[in-house]
Amino acid sequence: MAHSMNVNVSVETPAESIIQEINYDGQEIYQPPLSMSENLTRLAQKIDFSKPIIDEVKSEPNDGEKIEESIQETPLNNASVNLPFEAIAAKIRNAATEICVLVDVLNIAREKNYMVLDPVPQEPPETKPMAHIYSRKKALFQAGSMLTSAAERLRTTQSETNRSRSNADFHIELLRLRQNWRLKKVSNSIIGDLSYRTAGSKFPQTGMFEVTKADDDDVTNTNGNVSPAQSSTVTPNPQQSALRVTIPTELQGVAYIMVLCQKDDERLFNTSINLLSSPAAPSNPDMHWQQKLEAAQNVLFCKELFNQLAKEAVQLQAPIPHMVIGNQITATVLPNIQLVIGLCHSSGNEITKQSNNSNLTNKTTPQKSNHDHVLEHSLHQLLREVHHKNTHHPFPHPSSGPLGPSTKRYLAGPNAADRYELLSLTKNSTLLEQIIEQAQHFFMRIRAEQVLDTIAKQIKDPIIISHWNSLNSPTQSSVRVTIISHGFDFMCRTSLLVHVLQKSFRCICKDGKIMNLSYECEELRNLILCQIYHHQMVGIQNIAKSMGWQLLASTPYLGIGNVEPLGNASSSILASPLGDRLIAIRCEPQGKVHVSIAHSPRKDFFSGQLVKERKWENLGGPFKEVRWDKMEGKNFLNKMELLMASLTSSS
Amino acid sequence: MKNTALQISTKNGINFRDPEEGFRRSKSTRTDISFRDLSSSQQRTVDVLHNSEQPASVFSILDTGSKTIPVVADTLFDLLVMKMNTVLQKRQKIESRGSRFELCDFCIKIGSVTVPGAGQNFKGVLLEIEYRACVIPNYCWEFMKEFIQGFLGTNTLNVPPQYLQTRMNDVYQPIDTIQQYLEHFNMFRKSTGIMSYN
Repeated sequence: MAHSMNVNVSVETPAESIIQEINYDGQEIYQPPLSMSENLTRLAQKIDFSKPIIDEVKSEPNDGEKIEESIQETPLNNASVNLPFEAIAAKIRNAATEICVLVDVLNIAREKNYMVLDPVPQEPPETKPMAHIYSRKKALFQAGSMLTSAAERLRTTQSETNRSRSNADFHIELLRLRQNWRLKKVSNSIIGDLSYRTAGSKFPQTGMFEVTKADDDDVTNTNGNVSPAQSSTVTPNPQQSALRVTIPTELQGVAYIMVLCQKDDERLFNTSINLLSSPAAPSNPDMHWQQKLEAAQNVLFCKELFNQLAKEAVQLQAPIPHMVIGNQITATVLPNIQLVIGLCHSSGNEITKQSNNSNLTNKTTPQKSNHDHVLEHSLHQLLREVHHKNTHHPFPHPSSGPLGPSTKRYLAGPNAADRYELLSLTKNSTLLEQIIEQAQHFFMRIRAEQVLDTIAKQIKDPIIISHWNSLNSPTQSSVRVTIISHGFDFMCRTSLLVHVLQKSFRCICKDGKIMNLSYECEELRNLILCQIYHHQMVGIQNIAKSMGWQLLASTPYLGIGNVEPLGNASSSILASPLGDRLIAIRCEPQGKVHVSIAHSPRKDFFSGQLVKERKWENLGGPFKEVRWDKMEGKNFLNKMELLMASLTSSS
Repeated sequence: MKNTALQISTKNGINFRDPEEGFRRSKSTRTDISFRDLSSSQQRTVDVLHNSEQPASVFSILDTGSKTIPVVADTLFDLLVMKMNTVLQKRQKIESRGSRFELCDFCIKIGSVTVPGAGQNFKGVLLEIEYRACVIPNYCWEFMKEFIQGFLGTNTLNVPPQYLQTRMNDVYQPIDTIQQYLEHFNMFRKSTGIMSYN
């Protein structure tokens, strides 16, 4: 039958894992098999180091009987022989025993009480001198040949490195170049960029330079004494480097921006500047690449600066138009004063000279001392500020709004700024305007200094002290002018604050009056002179008060007497404490004072036909002028004090 | 900046002097877009206002039943409101458009109020007078009253507008102008045509 031929055979692998438990539904849970480390642990635990070892040496000479016995014994020890580490353990035990014995022997021999180590005397070997010599010679010869071969090898490697040192040098120099400049590899050549692009510049001129290896034929030109036998161990000139940079021709050389402020006397237009008579640094073809690149970068910066200034000079509308001629921009700062900005570029060995087409000779060559370094530095700073603004946009940087407006503009919305405020936000002053403002302020400051110094030197009677504020900006400074009289500074002190702005002065007096003056120094001078004589009058009044004299009348603007060329005269009339003397003072802005004295009961009263009674003598006599230059006293107030003191009678 | 607004009937045309030297004339507009807030159960309106005097700002006043919350924001606020179409339902737009005259420290704006919609519905005329030299209403209310009486005669107010009466000693802000405009715009919205101010 078919079905009886087929027998179902089920094949099952023997259970390798031990069954831990059987669930009620018949599922068997196996104990997980031991891992490798667990297995090892299990075996190692079975080693018993305290058990006596099987002595294999003694078992060798045994007869077959003992072999049978040992075979019979082995089933007993089967369990121990099957252990995997038993052999290792036995060997370690043997080794331990041997070492213990050795240690004991050495310890005993060291004490030298019971055992002593004695060397065994050896017979001296036969000496064959000739063979000895021959063997030594051979040995030395071998050593010598080894050394010479080694030296040869070293020499060949050194000559190789000398030749290829330029290669290693090149890479080291390239590394240093990369640390300072931006380089990139374009097909075969290495191109670098020295422009200010990444700093925020938008100048279209590129500053690409190429880096190449310095050629070898330039190097081997040192001395002809080199014998051909020696390998070419020519060390390159330590000042030359292994790489060479090629800079575009328009950026070669050295450039700087020359800023001049000069008085424009008769001519309407300036002639060209005759450029540097001696270039700042002659461009050396062997100059180190770092200096070359820095000089080229400076040239690029100056070009960008000049380009920007020239563009603005053409676009801006000034009352007196700016002029751009060649490499030079002329702008009028103040009437008769011009600011000349020129780009001086000396490229290579030739100095580019502009054609000198004027009749005036000496005035066209600017002296180096006229060049204003401060303004040049300001120009550099202004351009750097422009670059900075191009890259650094003010916070916040909203993802949903425009990027670029200033912080004030961002706040203009929520602060409900009206159209006038918004208009003022849009006013950006250009580079040229800013530098002109700085130059204007520079001149205003010099003028103020001159005026104050001249007045202080000329007028000694009240002392004029000017304290310049140490904190100032390129477009504004301030000075405090104090007028005191020597010896009377507690009595009377006049001070005023003068703000020096770009094109004007603003004076703030102690009484709160604010006066805006123009750029003419004469106005400032007149103001200070008026303040001086005003100070004298106030001083007189204060002294009179302190001495007990009474102020009868005082007029700051006197309408009588000669017409003053400057300001108005002022006058005061003082009466002594007893009333018997009168002093009248007339103070003129030019500095002259007229002092007159009168006696109150007239000394020269004679009763005549018309005026009969004695009482009319109290009307007061005529004023007699005092010869002020003969008066004693250090200064005006001192003289007044002495006069008052002398006129005060005690009765 | 002190401010007062008058509402004048349309029948009386105001003969304003032609701009002469001393006057500077330019255009000015104020627009108000009103939204109804659908998010909460109570009736809340959000008004978004623009004033050509402050071109960089957008004003918004949220009017719950109990209080009003003013907001002054940048022009991006408009875009934000546009995105909130689901919550805010647009109701009505009203604007006051006209000329602006400057005379020394005064600024006079005359606007005709219209509702842009199907046909420009004309609602009235608004006159705004601003004195730009002073920020406390109390100090210059009398002066302004005198100025207004100079050309309006007896039609002027004797007391400051109601909005300002509680704020006479506070610093005046542009949002106050907008609040006053909003009051008048709301009055215009309710009315249909001529209305006189009491």
